[in-house]
Amino acid sequence: MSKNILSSLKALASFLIFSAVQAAASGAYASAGQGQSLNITAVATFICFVITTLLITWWAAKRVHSRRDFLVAGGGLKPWQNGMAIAGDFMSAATFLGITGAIYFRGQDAFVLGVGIMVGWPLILMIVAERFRNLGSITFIDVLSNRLEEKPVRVMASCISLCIVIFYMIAQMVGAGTLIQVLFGIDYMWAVLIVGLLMTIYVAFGGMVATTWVQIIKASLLLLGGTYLTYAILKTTGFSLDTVMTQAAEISPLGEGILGTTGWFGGDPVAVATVAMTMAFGVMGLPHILMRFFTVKDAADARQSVFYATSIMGYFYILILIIGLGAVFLLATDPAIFGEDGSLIGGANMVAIHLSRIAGGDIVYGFMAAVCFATILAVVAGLTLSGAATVAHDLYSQVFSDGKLSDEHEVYVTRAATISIGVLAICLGLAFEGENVAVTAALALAIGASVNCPIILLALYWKGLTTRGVVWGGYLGLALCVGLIVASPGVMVAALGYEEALFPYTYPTVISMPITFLLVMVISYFDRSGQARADRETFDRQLLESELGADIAKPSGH
Amino acid sequence: MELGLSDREKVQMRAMKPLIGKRVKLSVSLSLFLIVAYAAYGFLLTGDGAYAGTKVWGQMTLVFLVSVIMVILGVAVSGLYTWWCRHHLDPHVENIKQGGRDE
Repeated sequence: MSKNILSSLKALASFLIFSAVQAAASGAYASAGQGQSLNITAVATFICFVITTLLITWWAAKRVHSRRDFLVAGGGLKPWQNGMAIAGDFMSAATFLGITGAIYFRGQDAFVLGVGIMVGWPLILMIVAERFRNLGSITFIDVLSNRLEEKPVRVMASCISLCIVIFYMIAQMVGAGTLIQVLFGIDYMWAVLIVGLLMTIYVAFGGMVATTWVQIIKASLLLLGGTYLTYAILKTTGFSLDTVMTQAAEISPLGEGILGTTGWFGGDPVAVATVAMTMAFGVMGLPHILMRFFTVKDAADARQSVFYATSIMGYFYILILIIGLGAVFLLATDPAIFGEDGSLIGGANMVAIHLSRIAGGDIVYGFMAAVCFATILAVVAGLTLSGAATVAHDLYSQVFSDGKLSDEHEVYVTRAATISIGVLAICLGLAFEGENVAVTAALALAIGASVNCPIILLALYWKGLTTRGVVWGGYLGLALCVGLIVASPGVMVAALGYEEALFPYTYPTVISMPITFLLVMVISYFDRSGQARADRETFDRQLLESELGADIAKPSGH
Repeated sequence: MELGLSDREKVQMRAMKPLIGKRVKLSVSLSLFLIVAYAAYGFLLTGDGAYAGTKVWGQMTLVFLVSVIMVILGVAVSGLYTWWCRHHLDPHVENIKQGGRDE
């Protein structure tokens, strides 16, 4: 079986490299027609990345002997490896391009997004990480179903998990297609196909080990690129942060406002609160992030990896703060990047990319463009693995097969699920071309904060929690969260064309998170069933296991 | 999952309780500290723009400084908690896991 897998991998790798070169070449012709030239550095960097990651996938595929090897790297990752991969998940194209662009246009207000993540991670470290590692083995749903009735909880949590993965995936695939079209000049369809095929290969063959190494390489490249851009900005000002700020304030249409606040939230504390809650608590509910706690050998390593991740992200967000301000005055030096109406070509997402060309010429521009491509690939690979684990482990193995599936069979089903999710992702990416999908990313984080976060916290810390409370509270919380998003300006105004939205905020978390907490607690409180008694009685055992660990499989080395 | 605790687990639980209490106290204090700081940061963003834009050092504004401090706080709190657990929790937990009573 493994020989077949490896030969399939070689064939697919050849096809992909050929496709990438052909797509880049077609992009070159298309671009030439628009008066742009092919960026050899971008194509060369990207092809190097693809070849390296495919070699790693080939190496990782040979090391998969069990479902834990495949889905959580056998619990054998080092804390620094896992930390880098976790940080990589958050140093996405949305973070790098999105927040840099938002600071360029909105000033310091935009940094509330980055600060939210920096608050969220220490909370995860102190509240969730170690207990999760001690209680679960493959997905966060293992932890939820630890002391509750397994089947209904797994089905409900799988629905939530798959919703998050799919919504996040739509945003990433459409973002990938659009961004890569702009960066490389290749067709949207080619871009989506390449991303979809590569992520399927990484996950289907290399599982968590390959996915982790793709993240580590990409995170290293992004840190390198970000550090260089910051160095280049500071060099132009004689390494004076004060001069960076002075020049940004002189050039920006916001004036001194770019260093202070610009009224992005309209002076509404609730608007900030709902964004802040989504950022800080949404992370706690993302299945592909929570799965990472099971890739290390024990609770101490899980804790250590979160510390590494937080440190790396902290460094990266400080870089972004300087890059965003530096972009304001450096971009102004190149009139070619502004349209006739004075708007920036490519919009906010292109701020960092334009800056890389101005600060480092075509080589740095090409490098950063390729890194952005790699970034999207790495994030969708993590999402795909998480979705496949939910389908194969939580639903097929634990619910439909009563946990009686052999390791080999479960790995086979996970690979099949990976390919299905890959095909689905490509179809969704193509179907949503040109649509405003920003709301789908908001939805994923909002569901994480509004539904998963309350359920996870109550499952870990509240003795009174019952199966009925979790299941009904979870479904109702999900419905409320989705309903409020549909009634938000992101859908009603931006997508459906109404003049005004029924719910005024893009993120519903400020309403939906407390209500989900309340629903789960009230339903559990009034639950007098026999199952409820059993659920409560097993809390002490779970508490002890969450502190000491129990039946934790021995790690395998990676 | 089995109901209730065995005799050995009851002994372990008794030994763990003070440690759980200490950890909860530390993690709740640090979490609340971060949440309150984040809330203050949010109010700074939505409050008086002139106050947020107050120069505190050269061109550096209050809101810029607080942004950087918030990022550093996130890292510092993580580091502090990790250090505390390694030095004040892990050795005792290991001792309890080995079966001995933590004294």
